[in-house]
Amino acid sequence: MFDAWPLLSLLIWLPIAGGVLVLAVGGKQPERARYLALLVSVLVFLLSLPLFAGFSTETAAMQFVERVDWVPALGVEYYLGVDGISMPLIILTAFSTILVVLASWRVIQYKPAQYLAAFLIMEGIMIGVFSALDAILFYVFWEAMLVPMFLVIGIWGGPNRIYATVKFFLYTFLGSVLMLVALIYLQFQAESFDILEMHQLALPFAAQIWVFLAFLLAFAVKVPMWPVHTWLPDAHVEAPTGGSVILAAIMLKIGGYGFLRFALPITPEASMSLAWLVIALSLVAVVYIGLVAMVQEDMKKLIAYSSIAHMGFVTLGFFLIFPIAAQTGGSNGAALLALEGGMVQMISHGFISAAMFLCVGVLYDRMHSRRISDYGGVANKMPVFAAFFVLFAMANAGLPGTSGFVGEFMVILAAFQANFWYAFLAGMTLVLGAAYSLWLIKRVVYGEVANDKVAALEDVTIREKLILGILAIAVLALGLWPAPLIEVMEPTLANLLEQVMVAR
Amino acid sequence: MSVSPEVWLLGVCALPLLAAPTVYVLGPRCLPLLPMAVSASVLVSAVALWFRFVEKGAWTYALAGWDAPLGILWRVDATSLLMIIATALVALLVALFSQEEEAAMGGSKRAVVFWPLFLFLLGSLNALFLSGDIFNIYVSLELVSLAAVSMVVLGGSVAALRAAMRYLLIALAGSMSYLLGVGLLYALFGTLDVGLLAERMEPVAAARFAFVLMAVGLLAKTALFPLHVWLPPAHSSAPTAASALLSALVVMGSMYWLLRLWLEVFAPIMPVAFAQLLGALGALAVLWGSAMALVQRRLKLLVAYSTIAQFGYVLLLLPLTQSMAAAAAWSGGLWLLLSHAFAKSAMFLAAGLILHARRRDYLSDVVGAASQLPMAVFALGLAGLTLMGLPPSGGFVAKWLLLEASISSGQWWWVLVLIGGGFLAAGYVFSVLKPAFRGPRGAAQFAPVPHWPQAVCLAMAVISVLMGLYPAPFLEWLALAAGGAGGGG
Repeated sequence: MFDAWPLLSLLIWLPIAGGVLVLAVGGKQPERARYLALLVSVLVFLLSLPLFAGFSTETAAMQFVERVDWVPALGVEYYLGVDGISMPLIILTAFSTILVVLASWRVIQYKPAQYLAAFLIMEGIMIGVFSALDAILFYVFWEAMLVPMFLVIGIWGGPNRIYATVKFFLYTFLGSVLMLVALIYLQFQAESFDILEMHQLALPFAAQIWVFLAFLLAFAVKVPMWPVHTWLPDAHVEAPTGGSVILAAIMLKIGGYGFLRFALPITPEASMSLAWLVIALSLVAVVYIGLVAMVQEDMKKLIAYSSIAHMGFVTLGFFLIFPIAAQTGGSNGAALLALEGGMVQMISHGFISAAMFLCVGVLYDRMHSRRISDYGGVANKMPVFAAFFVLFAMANAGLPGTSGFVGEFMVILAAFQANFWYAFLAGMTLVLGAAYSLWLIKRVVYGEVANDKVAALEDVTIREKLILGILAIAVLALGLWPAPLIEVMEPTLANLLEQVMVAR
Repeated sequence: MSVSPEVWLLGVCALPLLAAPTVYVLGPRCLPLLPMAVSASVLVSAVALWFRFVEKGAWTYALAGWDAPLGILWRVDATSLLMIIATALVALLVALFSQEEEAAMGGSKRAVVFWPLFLFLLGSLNALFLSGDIFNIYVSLELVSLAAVSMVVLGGSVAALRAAMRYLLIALAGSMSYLLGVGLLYALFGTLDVGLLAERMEPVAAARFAFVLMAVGLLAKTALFPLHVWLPPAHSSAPTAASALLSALVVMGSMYWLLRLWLEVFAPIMPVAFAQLLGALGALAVLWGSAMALVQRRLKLLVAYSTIAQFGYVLLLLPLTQSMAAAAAWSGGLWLLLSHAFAKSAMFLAAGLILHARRRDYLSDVVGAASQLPMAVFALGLAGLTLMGLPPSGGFVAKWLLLEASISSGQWWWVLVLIGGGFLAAGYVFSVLKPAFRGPRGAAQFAPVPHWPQAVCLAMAVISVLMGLYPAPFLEWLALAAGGAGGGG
C-alpha cells in the first residue's frame, strides 16, 4: 500500500515540518511541544518501517526512488533512493530520535520546544543524507546537519560548550569543503551529479588518488578516525544527552556510509592502493584509543573514546576487502564478510552507544557529575538501572549474544583471511573493550555505596525503563538473530564488492 | 498589461528621487509613512518590471525619446532587474527596521535627514543599475556616492566625520579616474552607449588604458584591496541603518558596473594577465579582509572587513569569464553579490541592535546576546552561513558555481582561495557567535529590544539562505545574460 507514496520525501520533510510546528505551537507550552515532538518522531519511525517491509532483497538497485529536477540549469536533481546500505541507517535514525525525545522529557527545562525542534529537523536532514542520490543534494544535507547540532551543543551544552561546538564545526567543515571540490570534479567527469553515474566512472589513477584523499579527509573526520578524532570527546562531554546519542548513533555512521557510497565505488583503485593507510589508522584507533579509553576519568569521555575504537572496526572491515582479495584471489566470501561486519558494527554501535550515553545521562540527571570517582555502589540503590547498564557494557565489550559481538566477530574472522596480525590486533579490542567497559562498571555500579549522594539515588523511572528496555531488546535481538539485517544488505554489498573488485 | 512599462521605470527611479526633497520639506509630519510607502512602491514597480521582462524579454528605453549614441538610454534586462529587486527589497526591510529610530539612526532628530537621504540613495542606485551608457553611469555613481557619504556623516561622531571625509576624497578620486576613462572612450569610439561600445570595441592600447582607468575608479568605490582603507571606518561609524545600506547596496553598485563593463565590452580585448592580476587582487582581498575581520575587537568593524573579503570573491569572476566557464562564473559572481546584500544587511542590523542594547559593540560586550536577542544572534549565524558558503544558502550556490568555473577552466589556484576564504569566514563568524552563546543565561545588562526589528534581521538572513534553496530560474536568466556561453556546465 505504500508503493505509491513518496516515502523518502515524507521521511525527510515530515520531521522538518514537525520541528517547525513544534517551534510554532510549543514556545509557550512545553508540555504540548513534548507530546507533539513525540507524536512526530513515532510517526516518522512508523513510516520508516515500510522501507524495511517493502524492501526487495532480490536486487542491488536503488528502491523507493524519487527523481525530479531541482536546479536543471546546473544538472542538480532532487533524487532520492535507498539500498541495503542506507535503508537500515534510516530506520536507525528514526528509532534514535524517539529515544532522544523521550530522554529529554523532564531533563530539558530550558527552551524545550527549541531543543526538540532542533532534533526533529536534524532527523529529517540525516535521513536526507542517507537517501540522497544526487551529489549536491547529499552535500547540502551533509552540511545542513551541522547547524542544528551546533545549536544543540551551543545552547544546551555544558560549561565548555562553545569551545566544543566551534571545534566540532571547524573539523567537519575542513573535511567537507574538500569533498565539495571532489564532487564538482566528478561532475565534470560524469557530466552529472548522479552518484550512481559517478560509480560508473573509470578515472585515471592519479585523479582517483586526489579524489580519494578528499573523501578520506571528509569521512575520516566524521567517523572519526585517528588522528582527526579529537573533536569527538570534547563534543560528547559538552553535549546534552540527546546530542551525544545522535552524535554517536547516527552522525558517526554518516562517515562510514560515505566510504561505502563514495570512496569505495568511485575510486576503487585508489582505495586499494591506500587501503594499508586506512587499515593502519583503524588499527591504531582500535588499540591505542582503546588504551586511551581505559584511563579516562569522565564517563562520557570514556564512552566517546570507546566509540572511536568501535568505529575503527567499521573502517577496518570496509578496507580489509582489498588485502583479503589479494590473499584469496577470486573468492569473495571473506571480503563480503568483512563488509557486512562493518555494516553490522555500524548498526549495533548505533544501539549500544546510544544506550551507554543514555545510561550516563540517567546518572548525570541525578548526580550532576560524570566523574567516575564520584560514583560507587550504584547497584545498591538502583538495581534495575544497574542491570541495564551492565548489559549494555557487556554488549560494548562484545559479549556473544549481544549485537556488539556479531559485527566485531565477523570483521575479525574476515581479518584472518587477510593477515594474522591484522586479526590479532583487531582481536585486542575484545580484551581492551572488556577492560574499559567492565572497569567502568566495577567502579560505578559495584562496591559499597561511595557517598551520601549515591545513597540518595532513586532507581529509574518508568519512562527511563521504557527507553532502556527498548534498547536492550534491540541489542539482544540483533545479537541473537542478525539474519534479517544481513539479508537486506547482502545483495547491495555483494554488488558493491563486485563493482570495486572488477578492474575497469 | 494595461500599465505601460515607463510608469514602472519612473516608479523605481523618479519616484524616490522626487520623494526625497518632498520628505525633507514636509518634515516629521510625513514620517515614517511616506518613505515607507515610496519604498514599497519601488518594490512593486521593480517586480512589475520583472514580470514584463519575463513576458517580453529585455528592452532598452530612450529617456525623453533621445536615442543612442547621445541620448540617455536605459537598459532593462535580467541582471539589472535582479539588482533592482534586491535593492528594493533590502531597502524596504531596512526602512521597516528604521521604524525603531533609536537603534537604526540614533534618535528621531536624525530621521528628518535620514529619510530624504535614504530615498535619494534608493533612486540613484536604481538609476545606476538601469543605466545604459557610461556617462550616465558616472552621474548615477556620483549621486550614489554623495548620498552614501552624507549617510556616514549622519553618524555624528568625530570618527564618523573623519571617515566620511576620507570616503568622500577617495570616491571623488575614483570618479575622476572613471571619468577620464569615459572621455578617452568617447574620443576613440564616438559613443557612450555600452552596447555600441561593445560593437565598436577594438583591441587598441588606448581602449585598454581607458578600461584600466575606469576599473581603478570603480574599484576604489567598491573598496577593493588595496583601495579598501576607507570602507571599515566609514561603514562602521555610520548609523546602523546606513551601514546596512552602504555595505549591502552601495558597494554592489560600483562592483556591478565593473563586472558588466568587463563582460560585455572589455573582456575580449584585455590581456589574460590583466584579468589574472585583478583575480589576484580579489584573492588578496579575500585573505586580507578575512584576516582583518578575524583580529577586530569591534563587531561593526568585523562585519565591515568581511565586506571587503566577500567582494574579493566576486572579483575572481573576471579571470574566470575569460574561459569556457563564463556563464557559471558570471551567475556565481552575481548570485554572491545578491545574497551578500541580504546577508550583510542582516548582519549590520543585528550588530546595530546589539550595539544599541549594550551601548558598545566590543566583542566582549556580545557575551550573553544569544539569550537576550535570540533572533538577532540567529540572524547573525544564518547570515554567517552565506558568508562561509555553507549550504543551503545563497553563498553556497555562488561559491559552488565559482568552484565549478575554476575547476572546469583549469584555474585551480582560485579553488584554494575559495576554500581558504570559507575557513577564514568561519573563523570570524565564530568570533562573534562564541561570545554570543557564552555567558550566564538571561543575566546580562542588555537594554530591552523589541521583537520586530530583530524579526527584520532574521527575515533578511532567511532570504539569504532561501536563495540557496531555489536559485534555479534566476540563475538561468543570469547565465543567459552572460551570452549563453554553455549554460553553466
